[in-house]
Amino acid sequence: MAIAIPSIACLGVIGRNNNPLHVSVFPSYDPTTNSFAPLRTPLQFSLLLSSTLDVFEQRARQNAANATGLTGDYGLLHAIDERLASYGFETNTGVKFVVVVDMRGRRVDGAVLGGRAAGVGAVGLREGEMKPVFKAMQTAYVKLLQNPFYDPDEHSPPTGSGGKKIVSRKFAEDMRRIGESWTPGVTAL
Amino acid sequence: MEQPSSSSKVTVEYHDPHDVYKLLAPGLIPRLPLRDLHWQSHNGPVRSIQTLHVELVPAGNEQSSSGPSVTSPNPKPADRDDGFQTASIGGRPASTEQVEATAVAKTGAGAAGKERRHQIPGLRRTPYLKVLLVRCDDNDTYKATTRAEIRDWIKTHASSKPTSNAENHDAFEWLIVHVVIPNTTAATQPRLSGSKAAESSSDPAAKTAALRWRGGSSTLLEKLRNDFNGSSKSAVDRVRQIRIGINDVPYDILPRVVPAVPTGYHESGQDSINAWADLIGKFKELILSCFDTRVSQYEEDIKERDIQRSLPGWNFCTFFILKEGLARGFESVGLVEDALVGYDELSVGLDAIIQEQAITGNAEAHGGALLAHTEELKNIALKAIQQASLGSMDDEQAVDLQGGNQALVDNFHNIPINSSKKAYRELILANNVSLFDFRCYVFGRQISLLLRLGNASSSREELLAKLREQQELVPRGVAPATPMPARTDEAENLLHLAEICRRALQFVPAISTVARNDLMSSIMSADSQISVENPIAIEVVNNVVASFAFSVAQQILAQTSSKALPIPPSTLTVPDGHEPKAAIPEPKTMMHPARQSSLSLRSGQRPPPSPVGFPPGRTTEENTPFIRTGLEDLAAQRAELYSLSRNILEECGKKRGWSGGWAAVPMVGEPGVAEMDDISLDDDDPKANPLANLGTETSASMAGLNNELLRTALRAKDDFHRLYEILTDKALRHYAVASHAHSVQKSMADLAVLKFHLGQYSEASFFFYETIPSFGEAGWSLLELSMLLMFAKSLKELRKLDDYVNKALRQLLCKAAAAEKERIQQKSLLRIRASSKRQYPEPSSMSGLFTDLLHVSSSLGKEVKIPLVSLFCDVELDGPPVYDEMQDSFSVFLKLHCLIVDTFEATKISLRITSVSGSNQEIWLQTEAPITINPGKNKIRLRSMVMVAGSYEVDQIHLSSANVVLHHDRDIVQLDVTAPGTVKNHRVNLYQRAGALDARLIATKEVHLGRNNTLELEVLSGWNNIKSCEVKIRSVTGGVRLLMNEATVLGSIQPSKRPEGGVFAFGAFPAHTSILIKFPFSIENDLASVAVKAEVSFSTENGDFAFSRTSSVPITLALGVNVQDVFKHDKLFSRFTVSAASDSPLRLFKSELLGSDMFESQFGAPPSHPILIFTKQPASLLYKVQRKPGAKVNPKKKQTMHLRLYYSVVQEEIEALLGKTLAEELEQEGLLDYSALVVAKVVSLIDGALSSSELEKVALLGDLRTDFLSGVKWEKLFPGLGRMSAPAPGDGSPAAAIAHFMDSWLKRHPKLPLRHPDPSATQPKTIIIPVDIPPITIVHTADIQLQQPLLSMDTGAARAGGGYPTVCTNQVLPATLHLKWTRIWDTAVSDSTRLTVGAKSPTHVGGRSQDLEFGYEITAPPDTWLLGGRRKGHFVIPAMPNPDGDECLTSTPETEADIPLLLIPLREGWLPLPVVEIREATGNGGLESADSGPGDHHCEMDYRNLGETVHVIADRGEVTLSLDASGPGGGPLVLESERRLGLDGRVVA
Repeated sequence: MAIAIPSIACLGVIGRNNNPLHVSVFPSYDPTTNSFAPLRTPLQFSLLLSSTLDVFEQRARQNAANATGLTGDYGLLHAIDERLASYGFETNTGVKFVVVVDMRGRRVDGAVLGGRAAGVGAVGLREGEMKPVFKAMQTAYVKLLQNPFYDPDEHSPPTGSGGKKIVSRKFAEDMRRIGESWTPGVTAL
Repeated sequence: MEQPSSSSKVTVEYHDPHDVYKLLAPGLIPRLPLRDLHWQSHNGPVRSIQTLHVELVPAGNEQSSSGPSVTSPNPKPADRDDGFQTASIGGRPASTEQVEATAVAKTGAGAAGKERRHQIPGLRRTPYLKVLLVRCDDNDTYKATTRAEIRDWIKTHASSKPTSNAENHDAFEWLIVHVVIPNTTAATQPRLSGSKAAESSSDPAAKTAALRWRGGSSTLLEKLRNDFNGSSKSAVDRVRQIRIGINDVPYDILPRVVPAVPTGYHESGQDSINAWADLIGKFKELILSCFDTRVSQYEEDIKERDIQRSLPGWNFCTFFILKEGLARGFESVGLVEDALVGYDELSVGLDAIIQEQAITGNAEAHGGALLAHTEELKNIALKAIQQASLGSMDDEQAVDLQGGNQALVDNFHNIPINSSKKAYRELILANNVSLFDFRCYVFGRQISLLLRLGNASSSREELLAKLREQQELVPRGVAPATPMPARTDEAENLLHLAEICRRALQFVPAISTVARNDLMSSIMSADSQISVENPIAIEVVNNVVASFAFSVAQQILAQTSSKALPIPPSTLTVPDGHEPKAAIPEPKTMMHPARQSSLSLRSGQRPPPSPVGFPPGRTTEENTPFIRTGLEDLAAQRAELYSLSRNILEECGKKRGWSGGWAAVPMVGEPGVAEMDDISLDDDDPKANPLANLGTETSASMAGLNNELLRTALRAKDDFHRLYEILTDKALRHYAVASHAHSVQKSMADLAVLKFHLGQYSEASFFFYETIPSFGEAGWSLLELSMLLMFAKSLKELRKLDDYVNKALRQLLCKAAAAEKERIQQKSLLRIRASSKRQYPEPSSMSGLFTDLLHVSSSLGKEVKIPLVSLFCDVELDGPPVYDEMQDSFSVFLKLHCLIVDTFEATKISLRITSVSGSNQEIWLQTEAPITINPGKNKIRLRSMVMVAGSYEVDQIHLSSANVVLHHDRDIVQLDVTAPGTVKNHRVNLYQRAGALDARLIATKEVHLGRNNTLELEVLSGWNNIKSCEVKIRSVTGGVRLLMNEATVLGSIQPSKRPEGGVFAFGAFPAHTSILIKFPFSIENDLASVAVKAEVSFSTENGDFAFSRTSSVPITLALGVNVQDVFKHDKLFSRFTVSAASDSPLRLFKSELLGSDMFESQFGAPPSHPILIFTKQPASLLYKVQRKPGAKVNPKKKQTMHLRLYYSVVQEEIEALLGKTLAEELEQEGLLDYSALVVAKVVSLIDGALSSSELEKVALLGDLRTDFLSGVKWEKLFPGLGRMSAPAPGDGSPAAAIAHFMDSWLKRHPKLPLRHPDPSATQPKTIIIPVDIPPITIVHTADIQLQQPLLSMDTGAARAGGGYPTVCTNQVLPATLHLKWTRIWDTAVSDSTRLTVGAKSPTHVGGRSQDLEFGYEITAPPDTWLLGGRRKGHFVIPAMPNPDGDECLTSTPETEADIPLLLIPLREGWLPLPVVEIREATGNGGLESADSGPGDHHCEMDYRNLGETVHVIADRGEVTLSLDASGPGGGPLVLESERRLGLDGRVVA
């Protein structure tokens, strides 16, 4: 029996100035046409990413007030609809990672299915499931920062507005790898 | 701990065999609920229960709901429990759940569960307290019957006290209440037989003490206590007495017979109150102790069960029921938070169990299996599939279907989350529950608890209603003892409401997954024919799940709505005007259809907020307390729920091809690596799936969409959009309250796109206008561009052309261009790496916009100005200027990278270059014809007919097309060259080609110091056949005035019209001819040089050209001349000292002193070679000047002589030499065009390179060493010259060629001979210096002549020595002083004719016409000469009879004086003759010096004897000396001397 399991529909990196640094959109499985297509247009994904910023701000405020949440993992930001949900992570420098998960973006045959994945299929996604994704994204971002040709100020100017996007191919490939290889239950990416 | 107003209840069962409850109730009910209970849990802090509602249940009538139910007489509408109150499991059918019955009946298990006592009981709704109401009117009755009755009751009901642990779950306490009716014996008895002081019921010890002492005549109360309170010390007092006031008893019950023995006891009001308080206190005490027992029991059980978790056979369901029992226990006493914690733990536990099961795959081993599917879901799904498969389903059928299954469908979909919807607990207990149900149940319970915590209006209203009903049941006519508690509008706790929404947001995705799996398995299990892959099935599943999720969201929204949440009115009310309201489904019923049933209570007070128009409920908004805490939170979470609903709707709509507009939004290519190639991950060929096509057809099925709102919305496209808009708008407004700025933007963007999609452009543009800037600022350019595009289209549709052009298009184009630019840059970055085959999306959506802009802007009044750099990038000049052959024009190539996707025609492109040297020279270059600009790279030739050599920078670029001007202005302060917006390669160097028209400014070679200097401007036509020409000359040096009126044009070509103001117009003149314009100038102060700008505009057959050149000419004199005059009686000697004024030596060829009318000059023999004059070695020229004979002093006659010098400056010679040789050789090398440039450059180097000593060396040696030029980097000196047409050495550039040439030239010419210039061949420079002969009134000549023959010793020898006589000392020399004078040098013009000239000294002028008296004096040192004769004397020079005449100019012998003198020399040696001084005698008789003195007549004296000496020798022939020291003073003694001459006068020594 084929079971739909969650997959990543979109990865977004948002800079300190709330400017988009990177957006990757991943196709989801559509059982009616038996094909892969992104659930939303890139514009809609951009819009979704931008609207998560409010939640980031709110959570950051709460964390500051309660002196909690040192990891920066903000968990579920939005339940966009019954299928899509966004999860967020904020680094110490204010760079935000957003993962939009499609709850049934991929189809897997039951036999192949790993145990944990099945569990996810049964009860939905737990907060901890996103940790490896964020970790991998952060690693990729750190790698990017280590590139001497990458000037963070150019991408999030200290003036506080705007900024360029990340154009590193390597980073894009990393994002893509993360987005495509993640399945529930994966512990390292 | 914040304690919300409790809505919890405990059951108290009362036994009323004597039917006294109705008497008791009026007093009891108002005292309920119980307040301020404090429970000390054994492992936690003291929990306070503020209010605890008590449900009084009569014992024994549980079995029939139709019985005289006192406690629950709620009208039937409320009987459908909806999660706002605790559900019961069996035992209490007071709320008869028909639905439940029908639902459960199918399973067949529910009925059994009612009766069966499960071995693990949940927290049953057993009474906490059993109360026996006893009426016992007197002691006799008590003894006879009542005591036995009570004993029986205790036996049957109360004595089943703790027998086993399990029973503790139902632990209860009991209490006997003795109701005393008035007019009975009991009523006359005092409460206690003891002293009134001991009456205080709070002290049981006192009571018992009283009891003991007064055993015999104890009251009924005491008897009761004695009998039933038990005897042990720890026994609890379980007896209370309440006396009913006489007024409270209905007349028919009131006993008529008053007992005979009145005791005189009278119950006071205070006693009554105390009694009641005692009773209530007892209630509390007993309930709490009972509760405590129960909780401990439960906790023990749970602990035990939990330990067994890993044992096989452990069942989660039973564990769940057990733990839930505890939670319910907490809830029932109002400890809602504790209850919630319990449920949360259970929820997590459930998840853990499910997960474990999924991992191991063995359900039974881990807590027992759950059902794979839910019956209801299955039914719905199957029906829907059936329906969908049967074919088209019209609305009729849909309605029918709904009608048929109304209960089921409504139940399931309108209030999806309801813990009492089904007999969940029984199902769970029976292990017969699906995961879906299970989770729904847990969530429902959590929600209801949270609602209680949040004091949600829904739950509060309900309880208040119940309370009211209870009170209303109090018999009529009996005034309630206490007023009914006012309906407190207690504040809702918004934080808890927000928590509900938050949980719902997490719950929806989770339950959706569960529901989906549930449905799948049910379909599979139900009908093997329907495969899961069947698109219909998939569709139905999708629909069911979507609609379920939608319903949940709507339910939560309804439940969490709060009056305290001030949601601003909708912005959608604006467009009301043109939207047919009739077509809109009534939003009230649409939004919250569930209200009809459970929430009907509220409908009156709080209608659901209407999205259209101002909700009526809002009118009371001012009254509602404004709660800040949690307000934003709640608003945000509610907004999220609205968004969720909206997104579900959108997804459903998508299947029908309807969208909120985003699908159709144009994408503008953005830079970034986000574009992903779609890689097909499945191997299946899409065609291989035959159902793919089918899927698209059936995807629009409504089957399974059971939420009415969703269904309505999806029935028609308009409705869909309507609901979409409403939901988005609601989300927007909630977000606004939550101050979630980004989300507000998002919602607005959604709305904008929707409006745009629907063609409502004015609203769309409003929203676009609001949102676009914020997206732009934060760098969401992808969104910004797309939205700008739509904004532009909307504005265009609205015909707001000005806005269209200026707000939208412009911005859009600029942004798009910026994006494009970034893309290009990125491309160029990537080019470095491996070739990237990434395809950027063709920005086709942008095409046509610019042409549109051009088109529309032409209809606008004013120009549309757009910065060039925002639409173009990589603006640069391509290479150096290109010069046209045989024409004085040049061109530059402008390279532009056009970022506009359209091709358009630029009508004109112009470029301005300005001089860098600070002069304001500007040159405009233009295109000759309209030019088509293509996207991408463009190269444009810009031409200028103006030629002004110099170094320039690009200053402005204007590109105009239609009414649009793209402009670029150089930022003056722009320092960073690499900054965007600068023109690369912006330097332009223009040079004068040799063949072009030229205007040279030459300082004239003849300098006349007495007159204004002149300049010459030579205009060379070069290769131009000039048709007409205009020359404009103006000075650019301050303080210089060009005297254009005196300008002359030399040569054959004369101006075509009279020159005016420095403008000379000429007609045609052929190529290679020149015009020479000579014009004088005057300067106000000393200037080193004069700069003059010549502007020549001329036309040839090739067009009109302009030329301009500013040249500077030094006007300092190269030499300086000093003059010294020596006047003689009839002649004047002038000595001119000519020195070089600069470092450079001069060459003086010739000099002449030009005579004037009065004077003539003579010069000796001129030198054969030119004289070299060095800075420190001036030349001296001596001229003899004589008054011309017969020349009279006449003002008309010019007296001034002029010294003319012919000279050349060596440095200029060097310059000329270099220029000539270089030009010649450059021509040979084919570099003629650059000769002017090169020569100018080389010449400019001389100044710094040759020092004065070097120049002297050159002048002396006669040759020039060129090594001073060898260190020059020639190539750098000639930047931007363009390309050579002919092949040349080096890299082919002219600069390299020139450098090459110079290097070789220097090698060939280490020395250049500097020949003496031939004055006859080249006209040397001349300077004419006016020389004035100073007027001298009188020139005296004094001459002392010794009389001859002089008695000399040796005349011949003496004369031969020097012409001077030799005399002896003491020899008397007779002499004559001869004085003569002349007036010939008095050339001053008399004041009779020229008043002004002599104004300086009037006496001077009058000198001629008056007698002048002079005095002479002869002085000599007294030890030298002894003077005899008139040493001083006066003489008068007669006035001239005719001042202008010639007579009496000079002294005649008559007017000369001879004064005899005797001179006696006193010493030996060469003695100068005595000095003669002549001074003018002043009025006071003194003498003034002849040649000085103010107010004096200018006179000179020529003393002829100056320097003449007389040789005086001692007059001794021989001398005899005695050598002994006998002379005077011990010296030698002259014995005898003999004079040489035997002169008469003998001087005795």
